[in-house]
Amino acid sequence: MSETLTIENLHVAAQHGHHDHVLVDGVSLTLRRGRILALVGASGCGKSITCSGAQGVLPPGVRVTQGRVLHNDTTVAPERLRGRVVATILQNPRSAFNPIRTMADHARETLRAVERLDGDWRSRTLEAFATVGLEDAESVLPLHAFEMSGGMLQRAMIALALLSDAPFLFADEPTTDLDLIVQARILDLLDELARRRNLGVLLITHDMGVVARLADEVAVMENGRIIERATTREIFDNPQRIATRELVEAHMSLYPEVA
Amino acid sequence: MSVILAARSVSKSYSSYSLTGRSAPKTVLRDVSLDIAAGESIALLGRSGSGKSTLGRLLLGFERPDGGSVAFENESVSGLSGERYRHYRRSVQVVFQDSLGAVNPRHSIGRIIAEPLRHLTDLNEDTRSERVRSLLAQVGLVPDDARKLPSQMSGGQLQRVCIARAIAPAPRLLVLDEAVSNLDLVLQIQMIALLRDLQARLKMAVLFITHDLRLVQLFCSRVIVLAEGRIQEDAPVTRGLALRSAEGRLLQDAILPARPVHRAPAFCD
Repeated sequence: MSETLTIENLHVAAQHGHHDHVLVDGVSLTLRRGRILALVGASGCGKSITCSGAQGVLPPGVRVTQGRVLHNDTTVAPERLRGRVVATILQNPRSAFNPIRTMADHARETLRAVERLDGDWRSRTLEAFATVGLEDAESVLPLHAFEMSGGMLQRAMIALALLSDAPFLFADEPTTDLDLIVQARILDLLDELARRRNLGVLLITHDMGVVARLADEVAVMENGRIIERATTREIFDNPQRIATRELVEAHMSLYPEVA
Repeated sequence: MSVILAARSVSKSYSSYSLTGRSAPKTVLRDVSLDIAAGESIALLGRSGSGKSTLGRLLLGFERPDGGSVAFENESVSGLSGERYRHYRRSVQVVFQDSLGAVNPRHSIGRIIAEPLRHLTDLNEDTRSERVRSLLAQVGLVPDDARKLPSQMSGGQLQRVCIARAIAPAPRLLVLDEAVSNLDLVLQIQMIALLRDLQARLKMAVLFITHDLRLVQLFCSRVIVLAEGRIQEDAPVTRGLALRSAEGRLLQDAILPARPVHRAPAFCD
């Protein structure tokens, strides 16, 4: 059996006055190492909240009302999950970095959070930077976020995620703010890393092109629930639900020469 | 076809300032010339930092070129004043990427859409609210939405509001600066359909600034590829479009696959 990460029956609600507004309504998902699972759906369907709910990093006023996360068959508390079992990369790399800290500071902070900060941090960081294709890694260490391009920042964020050596990766719209050329390179990088490091990846996206490029399996979300789950090929060839069909049809309409 | 707006050998550079003084200027546009004819739909395609938004800002008159000029109906924009300037402001409108950042959060949707009418036209209040109702309908919203605040609308709805505001003074050219990039794919395609429809009905020219060649093929009849501040290619959009410039080919190769590609399994159970 391969190593798994399971989100089980996750419920997330936002408090509105005296009643709860349900955002995630009983989501269950299993990630396996070496596999990329795409979580897709329209804006506001609860994809990102599922991801932050599982890690216990919800915005104020929003809370998990039910559910748990299991690493293999053991329940793990969110604070033991973050950075140790699951590393995360986010959509907007510019806002994900502390603007007054250098990349070296961020690397040290990441290692400190997983209790792995030692005399070796520098060479480990340089190695991670080189792995994600940040050329001249040494010169990246003293840079601040504002001194770097969007593509460089996303590579740096992936490098920080790798530093933790977590077996699973949550990638929340990792390429949405990047231009197509940079996007293609970042997707190549994620593909290669997932394979080489045998990562289990939860890939959150609204772009079925990203799904076609990268995902092994797809879970489709609508109104806080998973409504369909299948291999990527099945989802494209034989979508069962209306929301799934809409996603695939919208995507295919961008390729008039293929359809 | 008559040319509405033209860039004539424009160049632009920016300097950054810090405690240590002014940095060496970075050239963003070099000797760019572009004619936009009435009713045309042109895509301005390029990666981040190619200068496409800067060219848009020069055409909109938000900034002045360091060299060359921007001409509206054959008159240099920098020399326009009075009613001629108001005519230019009415005729060239823009929709940006970030709809939430493009509206005043305290103003009602009705007031937001009426704003260019208040400043750029002589319509009275009754005619203005009549026009707002019709604009809301044109972008697929309902009259009641006029009373809402931006925070009560979704991202897609709010982008429709920004489109309604832009077409309010009946522009001859609409600049769309990554105007659909923040939306999910299903909404992007709905928005493109809306814009195509509006463009045909209102007979406006459109300058569609984007990095996504897939959308260009849905919407535009001509594509201009920009890289490092220069025009690399200017081509008609045809079925089975194949860009020829090196940059054009890079952008075309970066298009995501239509169908699932085979991913080799990383391991065996």
